[in-house]
Amino acid sequence: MLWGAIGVVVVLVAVVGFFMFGGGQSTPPPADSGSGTTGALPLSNTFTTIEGAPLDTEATSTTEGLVVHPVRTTPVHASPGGKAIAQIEPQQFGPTWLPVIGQQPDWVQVLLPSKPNASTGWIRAADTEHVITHHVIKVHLKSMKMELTEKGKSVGNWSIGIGKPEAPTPTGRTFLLGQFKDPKQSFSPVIIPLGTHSPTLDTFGGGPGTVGIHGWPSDDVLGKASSDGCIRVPADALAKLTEVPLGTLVMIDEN
Amino acid sequence: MKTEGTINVNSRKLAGASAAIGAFAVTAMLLGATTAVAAPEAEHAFALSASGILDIEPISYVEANGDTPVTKELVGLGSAAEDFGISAGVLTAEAKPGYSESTVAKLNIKDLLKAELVKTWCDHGKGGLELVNAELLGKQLKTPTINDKVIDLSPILRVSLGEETRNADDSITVTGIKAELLPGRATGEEELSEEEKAALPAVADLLNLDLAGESTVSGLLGKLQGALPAGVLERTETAQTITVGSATCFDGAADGNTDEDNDGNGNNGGDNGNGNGDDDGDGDGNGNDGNKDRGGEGRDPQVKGASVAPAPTAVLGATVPVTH
Repeated sequence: MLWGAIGVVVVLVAVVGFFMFGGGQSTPPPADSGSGTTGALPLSNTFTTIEGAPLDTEATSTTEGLVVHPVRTTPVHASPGGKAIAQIEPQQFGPTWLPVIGQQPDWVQVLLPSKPNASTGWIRAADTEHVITHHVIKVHLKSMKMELTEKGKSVGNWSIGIGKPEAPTPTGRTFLLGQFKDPKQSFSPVIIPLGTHSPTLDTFGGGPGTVGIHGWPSDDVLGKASSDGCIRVPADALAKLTEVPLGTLVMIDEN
Repeated sequence: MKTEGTINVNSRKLAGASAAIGAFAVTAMLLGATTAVAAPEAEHAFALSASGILDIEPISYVEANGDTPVTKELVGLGSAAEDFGISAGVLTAEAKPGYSESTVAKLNIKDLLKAELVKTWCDHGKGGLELVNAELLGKQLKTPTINDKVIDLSPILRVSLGEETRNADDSITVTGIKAELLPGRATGEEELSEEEKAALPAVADLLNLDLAGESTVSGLLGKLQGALPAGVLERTETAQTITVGSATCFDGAADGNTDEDNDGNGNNGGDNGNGNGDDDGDGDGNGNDGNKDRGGEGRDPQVKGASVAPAPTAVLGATVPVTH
């Protein structure tokens, strides 16, 4: 942070300094001189909304656990070889890992981290590396329970806190997007953002309303619908969940 | 199509700043520079460009035309660019079927980013980057693995080294160094460190701003807001992007072919097994990926035989507003 703040401010001095010299006429800005044809595509990440992304049609089904990591920035298509609607980067909250929900020759269909919820897209298999996760996280809203399974066997069950009625935790199939520690808060040692967003809060705390899994200082929130959409879990659950691979499916249902 | 290239301070973005800082639009001609009008469906490369508040159209731009390599060499950026604080020695670019590269020697951007040499290449869809005696903000930059180095200090600065991008026409573009200033997503809640606060008087003097008493990033950005063109601090807009080295080529994977032979090329070939090593500044990409399947051009991911995903170890230190 130190070097960033100082360095950029100095860079800004340099940039602002450009204005202070010389004169003359202006010309229209040139076309993007960067990577060319994907330059105009929006990024798919937790901050963005991607228009035209096909929605997940099997939101209650699990997969065989295949997850992929884009090894380069690559276009996201609405169908295999179809229209490019976005691009996705190798790094978001650390390395990007996305669950595969469909395959065609040379293409994989993945869940996207961007809005709207349940967005999917197709990316080139050649632009990914892949592994398999044997875990699935199941979240049951009515009973306010979370279950962690590994190879189909239950390895953890916990009572959890969920979103209040005016800011409910969204249902559907989503995934572990990353992990981060936020030094500006004290309610959870680690926060695990998911690839889904609050259905009622377009923004939250200046952010996009990303739903996350995190701890809470007291256990009295467990078994209650009192959060702003996030899933509050006990400390032992959080510790275990931090060991679960990124891209792992999180199945949230009304049960 | 080739034209004279230009350095152009973006007058549209300047509109909001003129009252505050008495700005003038500047256009300076660069001998030997050329302009990429549209991304061609052929290998192409250029040595340096900038976009945002300051625009520099691609310098030493070349694109492949038949089997004979197309090359261009430019010595220096000229006094106009140097007046702006950007200088370079020899800038070259080359493009031919399956291969393109660019080199920038003796690069110096306001003493903030310096390098004896930045060589960027794309060889049949595989990117490469070589840095010689490179420094960013006074710190040495080592040659990274392709797509493996992002110095992300958002919302203030983001520098990526050796970034690879698949384009919509299936070509691959390798960008040697891309520096983005104020890349957006400012949450601004972070406290400035004591050292940062100590640096503020010098910064304030340079900017002719009163920054005394600022203790947060948001406060600092707020003050800068008044001194910068309208819109540059808005969350979706990057104020300035500087690109050093760009090479674009095709890999043939779009045809469903298996990948080419391992080219053993230069210093890139040995790095391909590494998915996400260290990325300083924002947590560690960890070293647990030695058993990952690199996907492979033209291969489809298979569940059977796939490596088991490792536990995540890259825990970022960040302020990311999720719901509570």
